[in-house]
This record gives sequence, C-alpha cells and structure tokens, in this order.
Amino acid sequence: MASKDASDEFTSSEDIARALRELALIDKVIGLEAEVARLSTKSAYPSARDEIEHLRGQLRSMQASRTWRVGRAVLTPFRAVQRATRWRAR
Amino acid sequence: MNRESLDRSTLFERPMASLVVIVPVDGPGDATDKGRSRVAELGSDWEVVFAEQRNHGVSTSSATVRAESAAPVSLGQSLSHAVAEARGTFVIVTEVDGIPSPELARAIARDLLARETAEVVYFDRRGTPSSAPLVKPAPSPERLRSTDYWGSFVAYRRSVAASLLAQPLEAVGAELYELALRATSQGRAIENSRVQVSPSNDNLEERWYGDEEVCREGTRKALECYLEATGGGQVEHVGDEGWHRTRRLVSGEPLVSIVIPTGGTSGVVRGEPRVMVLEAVRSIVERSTYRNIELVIVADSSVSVETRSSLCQLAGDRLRLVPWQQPFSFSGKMNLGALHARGEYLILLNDDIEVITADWIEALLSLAQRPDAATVGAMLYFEDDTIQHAGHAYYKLDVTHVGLHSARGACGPGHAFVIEREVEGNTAACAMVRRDRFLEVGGFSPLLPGNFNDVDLCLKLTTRGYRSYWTPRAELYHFESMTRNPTVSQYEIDTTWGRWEHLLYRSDFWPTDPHVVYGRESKLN
Repeated sequence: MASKDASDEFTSSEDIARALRELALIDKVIGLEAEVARLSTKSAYPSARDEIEHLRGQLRSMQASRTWRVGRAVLTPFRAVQRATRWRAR
Repeated sequence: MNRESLDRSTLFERPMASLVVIVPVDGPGDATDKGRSRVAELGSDWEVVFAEQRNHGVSTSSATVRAESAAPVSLGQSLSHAVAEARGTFVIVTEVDGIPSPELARAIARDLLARETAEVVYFDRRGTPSSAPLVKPAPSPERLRSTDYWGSFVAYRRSVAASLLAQPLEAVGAELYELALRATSQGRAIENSRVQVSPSNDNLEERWYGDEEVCREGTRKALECYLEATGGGQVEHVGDEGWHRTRRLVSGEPLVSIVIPTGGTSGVVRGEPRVMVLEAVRSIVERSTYRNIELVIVADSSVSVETRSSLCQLAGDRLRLVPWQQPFSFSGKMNLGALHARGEYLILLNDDIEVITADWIEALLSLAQRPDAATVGAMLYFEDDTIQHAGHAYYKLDVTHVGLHSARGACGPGHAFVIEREVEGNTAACAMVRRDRFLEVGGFSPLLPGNFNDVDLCLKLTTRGYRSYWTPRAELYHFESMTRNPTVSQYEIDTTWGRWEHLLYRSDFWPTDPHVVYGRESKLN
C-alpha cells in the first residue's frame, strides 16, 4: 500500500487544527463507549443504569452532530483501507 | 464449524472424552491392561482408545480393532486410526501414565461440558514441590510459533481432530505440536482451561522419542509449515529448552515515521552529560539498518537553536521539525507529529532512548505488518541494564510493565523475555503502529496529556479488534524519568479507570502477577 502523503492532506494550520479537533472527538466518543461498557458490567446497580442512559444520550447527540459526521467523512479513507486489508484467519 | 450436541441426553449416549493412549513401539507389554483398569475408575464420561504403534492396531475399552500387519506405524497414523475409532465428544492424546485421576477427570469433564463453542481446549499445569503452577496465557498464535506453551494435554473436539488429521502429520518427533499449530493456522476456536493437569502430560513427545535430533527436525518442519500457512516467516533456530527462534519477514520497504516529542532537555547518562534528543537521533541514524525513515520531531520552543542545527546535521533531509507552542502535552505532541507524518507506519518514541539493536525497526515492522496488529513494542532497559519494559500487563486494577527491574538476559516465565508474543499493550516510549489505525481511534487522548495515554491508546485499539505484539529483537535503552515529570494527576487516573476499569482486573496474555522480578540467566541456544 502506497504511503499517503500527509502534506497533501493538511496544507494549512487550519487543516491541522481541524484534524486535531476530529481526533479529539473520536477519542471522546470511544471513551464514552468504554464508559458505557464499564458501567454495563455493574448494571445491577440503579445508579449505574441511570448513568448508562445519560452517557448513551450524550453519545447519540454527539454522533448526530454535524461535526461528527464531517469528521467521519474525513477519516473514511483510513477505514476503507483497513476494511480492505483486514485479515481473517479462517 | 461442526457443533456437537452437549446436552445430558447425548452425554449418556457417548462419553464426554476419549483418551487416545499412545502405546509406543517399545512400550511396556501390559500397557493396555493397565490403562483399561485406570480408565474403568473414571466412569461413563470417559473411554480409552489405545493407539498401538507396535501392533499397528487400535483397541478401545469396549472393543479391539487390529490390523493384520505387524509392522509399526507412525504416531500420526496411530492417532488418525484412534480418532476414527473414538466416540467421545472430545479426544485427548496421552499415555498410560498420563491417565488422569478420577477427581481430575471429573473436573475436566465438567469443564469441557460447559464449553459449547470451543473446538480445542488446552489446560494449565499443576505445580510440583519445586515449581509453581503454570497458568497459561490466552490463545496466542505468535507466541505459539516460538514455544509450545499449550503442552501435550489438549482436548480436541472429535470432528475437529478428524479434520486436522485428514492431512497426514509430517513432523516426526513433534506431531502434537504440529497438530496444535495446524489448529491455530486454521483459525479454530481455541480456549484455555484453568483446570490443572499433571506436569508429565505436557511434554509427551520428548519422552516418546528420546532423540533430540528427531524432535528438533520435526519441530522445524512443523514450524516451517505453520509459518508458510500464516503469512510467511523463517525458522532461525530450534531450541532444546522449549523455545525457538522464528521470525516474521518484512514485506517491502514502507516509509516509517519516527515521531519524537521533545523539550530539548539534558541529562547525565553513564556519567556524561547529553542532550537527550540529540543522542537518541544519533543512535537511530548511525545504528539502524532500515533506511526508509523520516524523523518527525515535535519540538518545544525551549529546544535551542544549537540543538535544532545539530538535529538537521544528523538527520539531513529525513528530518521534519514541527513546532509545539502550547503547554506540555505528550499526547498533543504525538498527535501533531502523527498528522505531519508521511509514513504508513509510525514509531512513537521518547527522546530519552538509545538504540541498541541495528535491525530494531525491521523487528517492529515484521509484527506491525500482521493483519490484526495494534501496537508493537520493544525490549527497553534502564541505564543499569535491568528491564524497564517487556509489554504491559493488567493485574487487579493495576497497570504495570512486564519484567520491570528483571535482569537483562533473564528468560522469564515460559521464555517470555526471549520470544515474540501477544501483549495487552506497549509503552509509548517505543511503539510502532500503523498510522491509519492510530488516527482511526483518535490517536492519543488529549484528556491524558502526560500519563496512561499509551494504556488508553492500546485499549482503544484492542476494543476495535486489533492486537498488540511485543518483540525482544528490538532493544533500546530508556533513560526514564530523566526528562519526565513523574506527577500523576487524579484526573488522569479517573479518566483512564473510568473508561477501562472493567478490563484492568487481569491480563489475557500475562495471567499471573506481573510484579515478579526475574534474574535467571537465559541459556541462549
């Protein structure tokens, strides 16, 4: 697979700043998913269930936001490559 | 996958497990009688199938099947015939002295009954007066090509065993290892059981053959077949102490971007002052055999003009200096460096390191090119030559470096410090990762500017289905804390454990206490 030249993607400091914000957003979403998974292991507790619902609401809002949808579009090429090259050992 | 019914009605119709008892060519004459009487004590969950190489026959606890020929047959042929005669849901290869006690047999049967989807199950090993119990790691295909950590006492679902044996076993002297490798290369559903079996059951081939050269050549053949079936590689050396030197090969020569955040600080190493990043880059440039690299150095404004000039002289046109003008954030610097990088692969590197092995990049890359690779880590030493890092491990909500403070050259438990293997994660002091995967998970979390960002990164990748590896072939010094603020904030702890607490109770790939310090010398083969 040929290397993707980052200098072609990011030609300005604004591009870099936008990309950094998108990375932070992706990290935030994954972090929330992890928190939901953690709390799900303790879902016997009513307070944990409330917190799970609250976090899921945050997650839905974030994934519905324009910023998230734009960010996903920017990073789609990486995921396409990943899907194309993902190996299954069966 | 062929699921065999495991409900109790089936249990009454057929045994849970068939013990395939190998009776070697020169085995004792009363082996079958002795074996039958021992199996009779185990109850209806068990049957025994004797694979008699001497008489070219198979006899079971309820019937005798013998061929006409008196010529001995290979172990592989014996196994194949025996599995064809077996009726158990699972088959386990052993010898007469390896037939479990009634109590152990009940534990094994209960354990197997509960495993509805497992196709292969390997067991932990009981301790002895002179050794602790051996708790084995989770299924680890890369570890398996360096050491047969499964041992010989392995339960194969009968249909799976028959399928695996449809192609004759060719690794004379290492047939059971070949079977294990074959099951792994086919992607069978493999599970580890915490039921502990006898130590003597874990090295049957060695006892059956007694000829080291035969076993060695058989092992080499088995490993070569396995490597060929799983993406290629090389067998460099077959050892006599239970571990072997095999390696994956690098494909092509992709650009590797080495990202180094730095404040340009100085320290004292071996009694001499040094600007840490300069010596790190010097060791990379002067010692590395891999040439297609770029050095992306994310430099604070505190990095002096002299240091910048020296970096340019050292690295030439492979240098990319990226300015950092914000408050300290290791995560922020790494993310910025990754975005500026042009390589397909990143090496995340601290500025307080020094390269030891010339082909360290090739060693990392050979594993980073595995289709499911997350991070790949290296063997890091402190200045005093004790181990700083040999992979991450989680233990009772603690996160630590495997091998911390162990002696350089120590073999480690199960040869862990001398073989390539799967790990929970790696320190970002030196870790290779595919650039697209790093960005896919949002890089390092800006919520963790100084600590646990590497733990978080590795877990983000793991929960996306990727797997981290570690290699002892890439060795570097890490003069830790020379340039590092050791303060850990409560916020970082709350963020990391708030995300990942449920995954930090134990390690799949280091299931015992990782805080043990090892000091035995490795007898390198």
